[in-house]
Amino acid sequence: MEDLRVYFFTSRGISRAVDGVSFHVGEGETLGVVGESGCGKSVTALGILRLVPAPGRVVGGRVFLEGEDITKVSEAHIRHIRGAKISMILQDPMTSLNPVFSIGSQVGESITIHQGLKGRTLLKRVIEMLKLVRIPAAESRITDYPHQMSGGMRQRVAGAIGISCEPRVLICDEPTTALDVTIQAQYLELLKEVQERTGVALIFITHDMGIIARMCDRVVVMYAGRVVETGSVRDVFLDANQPYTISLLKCLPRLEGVAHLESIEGQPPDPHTFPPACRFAPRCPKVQPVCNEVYPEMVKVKEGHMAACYFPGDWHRDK
Amino acid sequence: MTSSDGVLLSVRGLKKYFPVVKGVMFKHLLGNVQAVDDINFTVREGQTFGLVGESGCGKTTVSRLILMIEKPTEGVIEFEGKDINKLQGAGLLEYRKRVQPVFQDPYSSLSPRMQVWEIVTEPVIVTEKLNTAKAKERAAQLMETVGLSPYMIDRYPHQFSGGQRQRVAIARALSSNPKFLVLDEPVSALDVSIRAQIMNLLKDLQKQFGLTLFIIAHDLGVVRYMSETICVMYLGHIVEMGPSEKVYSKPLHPYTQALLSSALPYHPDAEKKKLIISGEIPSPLNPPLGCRFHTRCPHVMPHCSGERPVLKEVEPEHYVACYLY
Amino acid sequence: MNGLARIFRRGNASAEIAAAPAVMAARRRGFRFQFVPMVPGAIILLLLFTAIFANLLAPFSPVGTTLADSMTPPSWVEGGTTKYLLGTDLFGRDQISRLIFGARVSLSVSLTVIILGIGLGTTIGMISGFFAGKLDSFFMRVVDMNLSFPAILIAIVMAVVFGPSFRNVILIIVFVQWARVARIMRGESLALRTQDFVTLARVAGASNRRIIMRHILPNVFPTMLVLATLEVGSVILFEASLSFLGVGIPPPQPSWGVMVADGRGQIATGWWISLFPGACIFFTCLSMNSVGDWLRDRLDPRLRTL
Repeated sequence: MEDLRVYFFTSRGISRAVDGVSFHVGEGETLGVVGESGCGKSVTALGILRLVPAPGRVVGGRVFLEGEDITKVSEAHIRHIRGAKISMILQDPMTSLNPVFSIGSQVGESITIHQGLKGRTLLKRVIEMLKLVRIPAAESRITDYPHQMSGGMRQRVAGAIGISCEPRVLICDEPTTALDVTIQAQYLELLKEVQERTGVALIFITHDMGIIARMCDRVVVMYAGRVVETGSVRDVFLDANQPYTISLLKCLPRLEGVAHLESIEGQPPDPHTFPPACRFAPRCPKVQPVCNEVYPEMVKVKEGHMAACYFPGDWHRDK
Repeated sequence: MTSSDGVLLSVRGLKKYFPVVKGVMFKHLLGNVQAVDDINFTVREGQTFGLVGESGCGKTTVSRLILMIEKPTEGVIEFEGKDINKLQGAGLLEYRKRVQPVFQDPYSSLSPRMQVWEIVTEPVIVTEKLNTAKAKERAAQLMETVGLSPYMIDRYPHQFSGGQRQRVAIARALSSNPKFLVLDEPVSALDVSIRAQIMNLLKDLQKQFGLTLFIIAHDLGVVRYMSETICVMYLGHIVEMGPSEKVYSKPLHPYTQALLSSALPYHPDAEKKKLIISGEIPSPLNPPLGCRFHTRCPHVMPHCSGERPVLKEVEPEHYVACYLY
Repeated sequence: MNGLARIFRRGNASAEIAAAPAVMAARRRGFRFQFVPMVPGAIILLLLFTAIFANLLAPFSPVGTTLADSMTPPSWVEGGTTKYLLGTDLFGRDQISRLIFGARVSLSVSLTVIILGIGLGTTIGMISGFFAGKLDSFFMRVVDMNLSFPAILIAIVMAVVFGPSFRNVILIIVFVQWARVARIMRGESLALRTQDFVTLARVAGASNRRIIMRHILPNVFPTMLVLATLEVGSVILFEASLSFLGVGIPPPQPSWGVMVADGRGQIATGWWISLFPGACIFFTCLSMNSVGDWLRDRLDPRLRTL
């Protein structure tokens, strides 16, 4: 039994894109990280892999992978971890594949790097991977180039690259936002299936509550660089305790139809000028004086369910 | 002249084919992309008409035809009983004023080097030759209407956030007192918490000005929230059309059913429907014959690939193009 | 002018937003020395000043010959006098005076060429890119033909046919230069015409003229500005090569190119004759190019964030 724990407190930089975020994900578990654009969820993912682009820098915190703090290991070692232990699927299937190489060679690339396979064994492995992501006629398609494939197929190839070295953790950064609804559903099913077969831990980074509801076991809600609520999907969706989470869930248009959607007024704060207090306070309908003074600590609502609010639940019970 | 049953816009037999040509010197026709193939619908005054479908289904082409950015290959679009493609001079200018668009991307739809007042009033400036002082005054009013501060009219688009930009785009669309707004994915580029703001704003404006909205989206929830009538398109054909409660509660066409079941529930306990259609959308260059959905349809029958099914009124106001009914 | 002012105002505002807080803090502390654009900028300003007040600054006439003082070396070299700080040429003309008046000729040629060439190129490029289709194909074939001909050959042929004169030199360089500008501007306009705001303007009923003037032009303006500074260097060089080949500014008018050419025969005995005008050309081009680069860097991130 490997207990995979990702733990970290990052970037206390000038633009505090990610400001003290911590969460963990266990083997075979699916964690959802949800938040709006600019809340720091993608930067968090890059922080895990130590790939934060300049001028960004990880200024604090630790990331544990199987008990080892990977923020401290050497550059060569982290390169080995990327791809082999932790890998990533990006949002845009058009740009995440290199247009001048065949898909076979792109899937094979990281297998060669990390597992040193060559020749026939490599070919076999590549085909196996493409079959795993359900690419029809994988044997004949490995010589295809990305432009010959549709968006959904390309995203599958990106998925095959992601899992090609049997990583322990697969970070999916908005993997389906560029896909059509019916294709998205197919792709999500596929990821589930791959997870069941390989036991990989999935970290889903998305803004879509629907994906979280369908895919994830636990969820981390981020707002303006901080975690505002975390817990099992059921707990968070049915018994949200932080006003941001509550409002976010309320402002979603549903298929069942509602007469009027509640909306969150105002805009998310600018990361350069985050207030030292609760960052949602300016938009919070239940704001109290204390909310504008110090940032609220995460409080335990119940086992495994935490919320960063001075009045967790109170707000909810009023309703 | 509005006809008696309140029809504002009617589309009959609308087709738009884009020829695909290969070769630089010696061009030859490879075929036609049948973006929109023989569709009919009507939009009543004061109504919100929603058009859903996946990418490449032709929904954006329909909006571009209505906005006269493209000319139809065949078919008629009538606005207040007049064929818009026959309008000229003052009539055309009037149509331009009555029908206004809001596009998806609030970044590319505002000219980056123009001040907001000029962006907002451009439709009036070009049709009425407004002077600067009047235009600014009008812009300030419009900004208030869409919930922005009037003093922002001297700013440039980059000083606004995405949601604010979309408000500016809506203000612009309202500047010429239109009757009909064509909204092409008005919220899909925005953040979740901002979407509800914009959708509510549109609803309020509709009430305030008696607007007719034509909304295009791929997000079923958005269309459900906004519109009374909904029309589902697949590869240039309309497959189902009807009042939104009916379409959502009892989808008839297999494609609509698949679309609805693919949509993600916003509830962790929602039953995970398993009706996921396999396969990809065929190329619109050489679309399947007959019913265009037959290549992916779970209920496919032999004659589905024969003649194209026509839209049939299965229950009042609820139309479907499928041989199952 | 109004348009220009707007563009600059906008530039400042967006730069502020784009700048990291550290940079902002530095800016608040006040003046900070930056090699580029300050040094090259100063050189350019100095040159402009020299060119404008040439007749006040020059100690001698640039064309007056004093054969007795022929081939005087610069003052710090043996045989030089303080009368002619940078020496004299074969005809005993003062080098400094010639350089000062040369600046006037070289700069006025290049500025005129830039205004005409960029103007013509941008107009054709914008029209070509905006209307696309057949008109675009036509213009672009013309541009291709223009570009595929060796520029210097066209220039020599034209100079021989029309005769060398100040005006003809300008027209020749414009003829060689506009096509390059047109090509770049056409690309920019082509990308802009598919932007939503252009479509929206069309839907609003705006005329093509309005769209080009209010939507396309302001958006290609930064590129135009950068192109202009980069082209100044190449125009000076081109004029120099024309003069060097004897088809440029007719002597005895001094242009830097003419002066380099004059020194060709005496390179062994009077190196200073070619060296100083050559150095002037070098520093002018370098300054212009670095200011152009700086402008591009300043303007580009803004274009990307749009």
